[in-house]
Amino acid sequence: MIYKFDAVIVGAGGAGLRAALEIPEGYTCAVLTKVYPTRSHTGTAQGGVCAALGNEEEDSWEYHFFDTVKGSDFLGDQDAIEIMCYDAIRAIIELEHMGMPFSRNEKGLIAQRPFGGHTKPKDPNNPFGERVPVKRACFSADRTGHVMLQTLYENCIKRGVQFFPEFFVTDLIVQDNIVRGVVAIEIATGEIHIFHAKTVMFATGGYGRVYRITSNAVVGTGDGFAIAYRRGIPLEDMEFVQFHPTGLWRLGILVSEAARGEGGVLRNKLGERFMEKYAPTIKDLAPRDVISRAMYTEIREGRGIQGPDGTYYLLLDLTHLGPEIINKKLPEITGFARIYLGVDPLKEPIPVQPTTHYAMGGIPTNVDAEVVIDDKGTKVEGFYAAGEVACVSVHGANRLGTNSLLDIIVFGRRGGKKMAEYIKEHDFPPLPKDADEWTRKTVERILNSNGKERVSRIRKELQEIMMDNVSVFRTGEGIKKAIEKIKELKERYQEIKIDDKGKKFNTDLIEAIELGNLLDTAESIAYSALNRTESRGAHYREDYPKRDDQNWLKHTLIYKNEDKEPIIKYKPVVITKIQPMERKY
Amino acid sequence: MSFKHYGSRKSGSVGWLLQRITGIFLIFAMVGHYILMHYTPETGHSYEQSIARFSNVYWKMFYLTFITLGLWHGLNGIWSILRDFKMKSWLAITLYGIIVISGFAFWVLGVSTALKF
Amino acid sequence: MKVTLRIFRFNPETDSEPYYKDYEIEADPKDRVIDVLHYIKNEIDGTLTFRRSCLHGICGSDGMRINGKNMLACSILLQDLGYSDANKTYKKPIVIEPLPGMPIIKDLVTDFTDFWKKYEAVKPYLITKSPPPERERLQSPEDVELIMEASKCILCACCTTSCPSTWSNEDYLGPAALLKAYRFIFDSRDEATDERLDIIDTPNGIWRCHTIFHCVQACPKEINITWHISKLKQKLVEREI
Repeated sequence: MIYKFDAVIVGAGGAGLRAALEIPEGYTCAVLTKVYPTRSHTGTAQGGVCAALGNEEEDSWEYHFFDTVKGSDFLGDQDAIEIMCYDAIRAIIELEHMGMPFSRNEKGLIAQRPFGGHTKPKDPNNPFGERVPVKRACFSADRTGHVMLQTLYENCIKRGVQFFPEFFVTDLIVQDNIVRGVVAIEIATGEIHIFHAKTVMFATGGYGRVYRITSNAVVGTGDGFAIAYRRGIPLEDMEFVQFHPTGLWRLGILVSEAARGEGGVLRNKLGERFMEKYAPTIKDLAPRDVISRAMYTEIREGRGIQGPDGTYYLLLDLTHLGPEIINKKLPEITGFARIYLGVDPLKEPIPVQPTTHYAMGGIPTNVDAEVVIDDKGTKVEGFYAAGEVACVSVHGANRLGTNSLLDIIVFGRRGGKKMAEYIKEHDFPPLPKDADEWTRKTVERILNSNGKERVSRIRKELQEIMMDNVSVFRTGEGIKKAIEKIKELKERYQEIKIDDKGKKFNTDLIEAIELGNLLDTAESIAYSALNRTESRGAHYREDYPKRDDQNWLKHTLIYKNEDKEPIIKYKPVVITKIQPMERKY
Repeated sequence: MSFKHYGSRKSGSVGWLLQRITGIFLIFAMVGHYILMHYTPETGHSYEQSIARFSNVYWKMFYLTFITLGLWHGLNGIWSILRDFKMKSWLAITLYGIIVISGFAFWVLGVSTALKF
Repeated sequence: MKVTLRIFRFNPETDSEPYYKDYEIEADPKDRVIDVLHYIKNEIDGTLTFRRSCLHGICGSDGMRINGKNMLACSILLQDLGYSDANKTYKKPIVIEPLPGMPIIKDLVTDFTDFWKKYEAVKPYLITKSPPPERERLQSPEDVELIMEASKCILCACCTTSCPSTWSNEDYLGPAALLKAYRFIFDSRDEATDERLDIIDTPNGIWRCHTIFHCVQACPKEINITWHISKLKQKLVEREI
């Protein structure tokens, strides 16, 4: 069936929902999601969302700006970061007015707490001098993302936004650089539908499932990245993959940075608070890339703790915080530790290891979430991207904790506003013939394929090779190995066979298509990582351990090139106020 | 499935509260009733003593309250259980009618008995 | 250890009746139920269909009936179900069924349409009439504490589908929707209390709750739902008197 909507938003997490609220009355808007909106991955964010409200102590959006630029290892575009940090205050107040239940302080204001990498100058008259942690993260216990997602969804209900839950988008219809809609499979029936649209926004979230250990939901399969990439749209800065220091050991389930914001510390086998060595001033509140590397180093140097299965972990110690803080401010994560590891955080430290967490890179956009495909700012007409799938770039080479929830509400809204303008000024572009051809062929091929490869086997091998070679520490040799493996897996992917040949609610089929997305996304990550011969933020090359501003202070743009090696181009970093300096904590 | 009831207000709060108040009264009344009738049958069941109780104005007031609240509590309880099930409206009206009529009949019977002495 | 999973199966395209299928597998006591379901889907039978997403009890996708109780498959370890000896072969199967009282789409996947209708019926959004202040509306920590527990709800439907009142009358709003109503009625910022109370004070509304406590037992987020519903009843009585 062919649906017609002025605006089609793919993904019902924070960015998609926030954008949907901007589509004005009188215009049609559809939000497509492969799960139910309240199941979106935004809901798993725990610790907080940052804004320099100054509710607890003096703060300024400019300090937030500085922290974000420095956190990004100076790869973030400063014009975009400025917009985000400045707009943060309005955005949080707006969420509060929408009904989000924030934790409060004694004055009745939104409560704030410290978070990794968020600081202010010790002496306000010396803005570039020594910095101390600042309480900037607004939160709702350790369920900030959950209540944010609920609040945004509730407001969409209020507005009567039309949802298409359990519609799996497989393709973007784009011709002559003008977007014309998307193709989606209705999971319940297996029908393939075309959504003819004036504007399309991708707010499809991340790709954590490319890796074995991840905090991401099973649905985080990089669909948006892969669809855009296949359609000739470049991906920006894909080499920058954030590893969160504290994932539950073996499971990767996130233990929020809020645990350290509230005073938790990391310890090694000897019981040492090892972050004192790596980040003497802000210690356990250093940015995530710094801590993840420190943890890998500790383990490599023999100070990790070996579990019965031979893998290593370190300890997150909350035992000194007391039941008041743990039960009131960190109830959710203590529940995780109890349920999954049988550890009571009140009494013993939690075994943790770095876990794949966030994609700094993604579909390149300008500050209005309009997709731009080169260094000249050439737009794809009617195409928008926001949230984790987009690369504005506000996170550069490393995202600060709490900036992702901020990113989605700021740029989701800006994108929504631009879409609203666009749909008023433009007519529906004609649909090309056989717009759903790729999807039909792919579905047919997978259903009829009688090879010998299982989807789960290929997926597992991909996740292993990426985890081993393209994670926290990388070498050219390792990445090349991963690339060879990805090539092999792509060939084997053509030989898959699935068990479920039916139409209705065929999750076997959906997983097979998702695997294709994972493979394409992994390809873009690995090639980008191989190409960048320096170390910056989350991208650490052991063979090139130094940051190299001379040659690499630029964004990577990677373009798919049929079955040949992808093409890599560059885009300059926007630097307005802060020149790159040494990044020390 | 019909959602027509959502939003069309028909308060159950007074009934809910009364059910609880009468419940509390009945707990004590039932305990008294049990002691009197089942543990001290000589006192409870003998004709003379029963007549004596019925002639006492305080006992009479107690019995009238007991009859009224007991009947109301029991029948309202049955009705609220019946309402848990989806019923065609003719069935609901019939059942409600039976409950109201039988309740009234029992009440008249009880009150007239209590007032006879 | 060896365990058998007895899973409710139904494919609308090929089966006229649902049936149970046994899968004997090797598992670890520390595996979650969702892990063994994934193992079956990945390695044995790709046709097995269920919903899941975050795998740590916050998205609310994988509510199902496990050994007769509603719970999230990702938030329960086999050892917590009594399968704790790594060297044993367990004869007693782990029975996995879809949430009860909902139409079945396929295997463990149920139709949530009515559940969402009830959710929407209680107007699940903040309603304010006074103009918003420039900054945040003030709320004391105590004000927020009143709604914190209710705002934990992940809408997994474990409670509503475990409620006998829902089983006998599928039009009953159910615990999840009532909890959502509570979350706004007791939000100090909300200005539509009367309107909201009217919605739940109906024959298919709150009075169908008989404090059976199944919802409390079923809730994977350990929300004391019955307590919240009782607070709503109190509020209704106070309004009436």
